[in-house]
Amino acid sequence: MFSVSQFYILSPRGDTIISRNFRSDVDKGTAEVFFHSVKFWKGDGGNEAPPCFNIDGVNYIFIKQSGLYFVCTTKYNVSPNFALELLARLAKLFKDYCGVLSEEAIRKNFVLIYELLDEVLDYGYPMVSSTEQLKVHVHNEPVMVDMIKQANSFKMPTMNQKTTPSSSVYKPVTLAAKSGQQRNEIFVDILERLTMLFNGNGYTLSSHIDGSIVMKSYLSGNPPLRLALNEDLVVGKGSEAANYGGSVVLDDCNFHECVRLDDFESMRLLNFVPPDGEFVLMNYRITSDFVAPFRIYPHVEENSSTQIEIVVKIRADLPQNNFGVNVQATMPVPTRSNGVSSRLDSGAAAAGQTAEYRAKDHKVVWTIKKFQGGAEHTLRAKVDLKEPMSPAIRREIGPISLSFEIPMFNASQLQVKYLRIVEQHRTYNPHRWVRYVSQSASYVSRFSTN
Amino acid sequence: MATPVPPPPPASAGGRDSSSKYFDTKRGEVTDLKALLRNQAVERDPRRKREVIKKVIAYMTLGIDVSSLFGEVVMASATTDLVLKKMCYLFLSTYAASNEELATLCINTMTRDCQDSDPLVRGLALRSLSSLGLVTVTEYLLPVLLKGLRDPAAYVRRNSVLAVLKLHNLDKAIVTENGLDDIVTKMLQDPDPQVSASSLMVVAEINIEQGGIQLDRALVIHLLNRIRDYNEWGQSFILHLLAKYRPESEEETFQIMNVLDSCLRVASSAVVLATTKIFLFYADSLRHIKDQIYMRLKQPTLTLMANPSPELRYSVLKHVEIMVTRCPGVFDSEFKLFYIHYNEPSPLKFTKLRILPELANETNIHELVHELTEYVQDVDPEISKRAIIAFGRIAVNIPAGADGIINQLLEFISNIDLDTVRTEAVNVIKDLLRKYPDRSADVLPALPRCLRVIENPTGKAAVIFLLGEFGADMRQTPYLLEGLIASYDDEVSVQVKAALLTAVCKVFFRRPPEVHAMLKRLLTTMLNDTSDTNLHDRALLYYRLLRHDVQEARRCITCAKSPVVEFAEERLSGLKQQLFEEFNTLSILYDKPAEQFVDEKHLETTSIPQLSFAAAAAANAAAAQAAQQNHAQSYDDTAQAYHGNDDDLLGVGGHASPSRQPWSLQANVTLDQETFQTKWEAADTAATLDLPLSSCPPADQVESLAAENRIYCMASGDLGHALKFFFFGRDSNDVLHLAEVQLEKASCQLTATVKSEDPTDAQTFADSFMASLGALL
Repeated sequence: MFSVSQFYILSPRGDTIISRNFRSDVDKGTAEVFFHSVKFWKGDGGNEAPPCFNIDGVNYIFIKQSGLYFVCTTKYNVSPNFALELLARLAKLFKDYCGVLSEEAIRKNFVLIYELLDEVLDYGYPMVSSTEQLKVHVHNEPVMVDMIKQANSFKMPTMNQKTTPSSSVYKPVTLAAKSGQQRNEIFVDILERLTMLFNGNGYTLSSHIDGSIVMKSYLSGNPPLRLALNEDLVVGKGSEAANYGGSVVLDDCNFHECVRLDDFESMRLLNFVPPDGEFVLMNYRITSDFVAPFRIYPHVEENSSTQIEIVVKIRADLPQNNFGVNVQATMPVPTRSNGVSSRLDSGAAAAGQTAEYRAKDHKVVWTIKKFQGGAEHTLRAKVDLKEPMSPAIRREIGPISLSFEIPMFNASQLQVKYLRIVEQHRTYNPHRWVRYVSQSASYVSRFSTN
Repeated sequence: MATPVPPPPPASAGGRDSSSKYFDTKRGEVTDLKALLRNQAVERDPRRKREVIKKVIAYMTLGIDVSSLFGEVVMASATTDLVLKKMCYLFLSTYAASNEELATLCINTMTRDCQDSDPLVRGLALRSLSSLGLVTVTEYLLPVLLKGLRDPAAYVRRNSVLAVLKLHNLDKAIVTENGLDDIVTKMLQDPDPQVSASSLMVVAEINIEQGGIQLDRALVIHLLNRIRDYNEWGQSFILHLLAKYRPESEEETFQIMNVLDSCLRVASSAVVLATTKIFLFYADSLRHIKDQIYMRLKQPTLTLMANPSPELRYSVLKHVEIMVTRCPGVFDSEFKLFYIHYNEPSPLKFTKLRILPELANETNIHELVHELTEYVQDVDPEISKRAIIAFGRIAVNIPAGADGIINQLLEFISNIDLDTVRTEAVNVIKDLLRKYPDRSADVLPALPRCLRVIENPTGKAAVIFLLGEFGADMRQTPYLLEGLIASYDDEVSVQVKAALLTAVCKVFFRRPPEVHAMLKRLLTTMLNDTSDTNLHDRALLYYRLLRHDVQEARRCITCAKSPVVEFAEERLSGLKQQLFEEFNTLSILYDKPAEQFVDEKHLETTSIPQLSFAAAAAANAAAAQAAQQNHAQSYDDTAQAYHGNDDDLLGVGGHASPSRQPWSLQANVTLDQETFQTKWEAADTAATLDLPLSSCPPADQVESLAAENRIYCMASGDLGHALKFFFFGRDSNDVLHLAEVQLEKASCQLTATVKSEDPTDAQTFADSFMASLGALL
């Protein structure tokens, strides 16, 4: 049985913003039980609640997005991925219809949310969930929330403002369709999340890329599209073709259900009719070697028995015209330290660099607003210890984690060669925005042990 | 001494006052709304009316009781404004159950809407009417429902199908009496995939007590042919049901896998995992290509792990964990994908720490151990603790790596100044020495230091255990124990005290003159210690045993311990099997079978018919039909049954007497060499086998094929001209079977001699062994 009993959205403080009971076989008041359990989770050693748990025979399944909890309850032994995908889909739908996903947007559009919920789920069973199929049934108009205010009060988890081509990606789908002077546009993001692990000598211990091609379509009439990838793209790491150099080798990939793969094997073409709103056209995974965009060289010097100096050098192995934005290196320092004084390159402050010691978390946070390709920056942090250096103190230093975003760059070299409307008319020439973004997923360098 | 219960304090009365005052203000607002709803001006202005109703819904969401507006909302619902109507219906279905009498007022509007010319209105009205959840509504619902099921619009049909389910849960009889269930069953073939999928869900839930829906071949083919027409929810549900269907032949199995292959390429983890479940079940019956099937599944599941949502990743990881233990080796090469990320939630990290040791093999062990060493130094003590446990798992799985790991653990004890690390390390060493007792010489020198630095009772008890078990011959041992006895009164932990008693006794048996006096002292102290009854009784038992007969006491206290081959959790193979059958359900995330957390009403049977090897021939035909009534016990058995049947051409078949319980072999049986030898010498030959093989396989292939059928290898060797094996297995009647097998390299001739504790089933065992070599025949 794949049926949910209740669905609710809770604010970060635990207030119920939306609550819908589908089957009335689970008591009221579960929202409080849920929030309390997640807030004060204790079980199996951790204090972070897993996404599914059971209390008194009720299964609670939740995801957290934009700080909000999307929760469903059920008494059945459902497929966890079914329920989690459902919650993720609902969150995406709300975003498509409200323009953004935030507490304010949901509060202002609660009637619309209820309307959507009732069309997606009947008696707790999901029926339809695609944005365009629901359009016929949804009659409420979205209440827009102020985007500028949103951007400040709410950190958008995926993109930063600089790489956003226009605020139109925050347009609700229905509003876009109804307004007369709408622009025909489609956004394509090639988004890559990089995982890297270096040892203290700069040697790569493990690395992989998780990539997705994300689209957001505002094309009227949903015309069939064709998207071409690198022709020499190889799928399957062990395959023969993968041994030839130069080509992009994917370990594996999967596709949105709208994609027809008839021309994929031969020509690397994806044919599809784009659904409305945001969707992931394709996910892919790469474990073969690639050039790390940033290299980290950390080392520790012992100035005296109670003072050490941690030196971190970061180099951007990027083309000259590319740059990383919001680069942030976080480095744990010994808990038994009196203070940390950090020194940056000369002229660093002008270049938007800061280094801050967060005594509470015992961390030095080094921020570089813009990290130009080919550049190299160094941080020197002097740490005054409360007691003489010991192996135990040594262990508390590092590892360094780096978070960043690189616009118009993708580490894998995977490319969208073109995106075409299959039957092209002269009058119909939509705007196509193609962006490449590489982000850090887990980008870590350890210190050498000696 | 019952103190009189004080009268309710006046404060509570005051509280009630204040709460009612609070409520009054709210009621005031509710009254305002009521007035507004009755206001003529509002009545005429649809925009204003929407606003008012919206406010009502807002109150409802906040949990304020607005049910007193029921009548007004009923009035308002009679409108052509669809937005308004939807809001009203949402209100009505929420409050109908608590306003049963008033609810009848809305029936009129709703039934009228069910006849509307707009299918959207018809569908909406049907859905809302059936959602009221009132028995009194059923008689009005029935006629419109019968009509709705034949509606030309798919939207209306779909909502009607679900209305049948809602009606069924209100009043079962009315559904069956009017043949609604049959109509819905027919609608499984509806041309609209939405309607068809909904009908499946409804039929499955209506029949949940009978074990769910019964899939016959025709229906399976019908669903498979159009699987891509359904949306991901429909697909997931259909695949979930398909997992219960047993193909009639190997050919059909392949056909289904070919059709479903495309479902492994979609982005929805729900669809991929549901497909994976089917493939995994098939892999059990197609043992010769089991590895290939797992290889096919590997990449798609790993790609799901790349999902940016940590929640989805967690669930996928838990499923990978099951797959990894089910088919060791397949995921080994990708071990780096399971490295911990610094920024992921701890449930994910913990799961990875359980998977990583299972991926270790002789090639990657070095790298893996190095990575785990980093985790041991993590700032989170929970991570470091679990990393040490992972070390233990690797050492148990890979004997070649055990030496290095024990040394590494000893290094942690001496170099890492953390009690949690030391405790865990010494605990793991304690377990490892039971498997590798000859390594004790390296461990012993570290113990005196451990004893000094470890404070945690579990860690301390482990050190004391090691001293008693392995350290009896070490020079310092009596002195160390003496020190502990001296500080006995300062010790608070019962665990440590109990370990001390046993350890001192063990050393006493080896070195009576030195330890005699201190044992006496310890026993005296303990017999006077009444802080813990169990401890006191234990001391008393030891004391009396020793007084009765020292030799007998020795036999009891230092009895030989069976070597640890695997950790206790692994031995719960029944649980693992059950979890495997519940793949792609919450059971996998909880590590618990469904019956432990789902009440009877919501429990779905796994619906895999129970079959035994011997009964295979007869049951094969029945299996297709008997899909649900039998309670599932073991899919493995089913798989064996099919396997056996395939081999029936070779004359394998029912040898078991019908009066006994179905014959099968137990999983994860262990046996030590000595027992094997004694049993072998004691028994007579009960069965023999003489088989020509198509080729001469390597020894490990024979062993793994046999192990898949729960026939385990005791020892094997190469005699030059032939391979020689000793196998054993324990059947469901707890009878031990032993086999000596010789495989001539030149002629590929295999001969086997079987001896059994009870020769009745020896031939069945021999046949089972032959069947397990099916791929080589």
